[in-house]
Amino acid sequence: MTAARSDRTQLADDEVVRRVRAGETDAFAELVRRTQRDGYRLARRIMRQHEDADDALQESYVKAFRALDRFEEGRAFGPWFLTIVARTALSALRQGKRRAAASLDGPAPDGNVPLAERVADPEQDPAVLEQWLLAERAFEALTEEHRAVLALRVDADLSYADIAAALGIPIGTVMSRLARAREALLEEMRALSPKRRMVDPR
Amino acid sequence: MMQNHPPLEELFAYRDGELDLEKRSLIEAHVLSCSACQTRLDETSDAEGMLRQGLQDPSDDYFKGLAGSVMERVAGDESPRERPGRRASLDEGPRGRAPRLPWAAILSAASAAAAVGVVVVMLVQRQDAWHGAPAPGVVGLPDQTESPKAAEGNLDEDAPVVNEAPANERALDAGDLVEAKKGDLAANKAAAPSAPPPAAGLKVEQMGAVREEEITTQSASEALPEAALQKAPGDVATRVAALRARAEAAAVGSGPSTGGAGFAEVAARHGLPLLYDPARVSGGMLLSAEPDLRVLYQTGRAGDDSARVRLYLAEAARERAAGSFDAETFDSIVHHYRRAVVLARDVETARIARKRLEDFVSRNAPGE
Repeated sequence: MTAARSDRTQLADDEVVRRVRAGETDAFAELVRRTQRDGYRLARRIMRQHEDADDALQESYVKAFRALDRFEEGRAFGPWFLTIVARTALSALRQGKRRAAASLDGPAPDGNVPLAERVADPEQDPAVLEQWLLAERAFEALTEEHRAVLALRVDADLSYADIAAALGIPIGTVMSRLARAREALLEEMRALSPKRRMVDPR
Repeated sequence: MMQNHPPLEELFAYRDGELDLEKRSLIEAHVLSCSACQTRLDETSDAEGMLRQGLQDPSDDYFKGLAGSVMERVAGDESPRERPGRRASLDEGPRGRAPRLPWAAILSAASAAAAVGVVVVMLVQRQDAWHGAPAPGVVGLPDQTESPKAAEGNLDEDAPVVNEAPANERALDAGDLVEAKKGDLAANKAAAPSAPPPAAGLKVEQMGAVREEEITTQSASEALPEAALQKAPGDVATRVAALRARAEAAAVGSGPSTGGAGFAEVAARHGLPLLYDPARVSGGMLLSAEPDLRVLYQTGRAGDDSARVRLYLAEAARERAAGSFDAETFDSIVHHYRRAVVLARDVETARIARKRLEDFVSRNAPGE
């Protein structure tokens, strides 16, 4: 068992997929381990709350497992899985399967220290944290649509084609939506930080 | 002036590497001479860099338990289609209640942010050299409105849309993520099998000059050895050596903030420099180190050295494939390089990864 598992870690994604399809169901755990951090980040960005992200992520793995026979060999498993995560998370959002959004300053339900408190931590470089917090706050202020497209591009690092697939929209729409989302992000950052010099070139 | 700016979506698509060659050249010509558009791209990249660094991860326990939870849910799932997406109890397994505050990550974000700043500044740079053979399917033209298979109302469908991109298209996308500096641009132009159009080449060189100036102003902590770089613009080896020395010094000084001695130890054990260097690393070293590097990568112990580990994994895979790649191997190598560029905590690692990616693609892209 241990030997089999450590052996799997050496395999390419495709080969692991092949094994799962061939009935080696537990090899799927290896795919989970390989994709879980990227998947979590994406789900978390879209869902905001840890618990919701966790639900969406687990749901995504179940879906991926069931759809594995349609996974095309030669394709990278990661981006394929991330499109599932995106669609699952967005669908959950639309169905209202989400806990009440907590403010960045409020207590974090997953036990994480609220951001505002972290910024107060004397050991941290305040300038860096301030910037980081600014970006986070600005992101939080965006619409769901904008958050989703940014998450897919920035966190999941997906191509426009993959984003289009994940969102079920044409590539042209991805382009325009992404541009608006990026503008909105900068706009929010300016609004939140009037003293920060941000040149508006237009 | 205003009417000369390209639409924002094209500007961003350019930055994201989603434009075809022709469009890209047009936008590039504008960006080269328009500091406003450069600023726009830089600001966006800075903001996204902060977002990328900032997201808090749950505890490691959460990830340790996740695979187990998932496996319980799929266990005995013999007839997947018959089971609705019912929630299994999520009580089992760690739930990430014990937070690990990602201070290390945030702090390294301080230096990384500087690096990101530099890196993203350079993102606007385009490299035509290795795009000499553009894929027909390069995405991103605004008028390209092919409808993906997934419809808006289809989000819940179990079958995810599979987005097949030909390997060379994927590679183009990967390359567009990365940045170039004047030195390696020159090197690449010389080495690239298909040279860019003369006009594009000139632009690239101009841009190299502009960019290097900006690099110094962007980030003092990541300042490149400008004197060396500018005095010998043609002497790539000297420049690379200077950059590499600095990057390695930085790596030794700071060390990985997560994953303990992971990468440094593995590297030392196999005689590898901390940053891949073709002159100092043999194929045999790569192959002997590969299993250990894989373990680092797959267990997440690479920590802040993820990019360097990825870079080595790509090199090892290349070595193993010995010039004969199937699509899968090709993709996986490109992916490793690409992630190395994205995850890099210092400019030099990003640069080397990008350079090696280009080298790989220019040698091995399908159809060449």
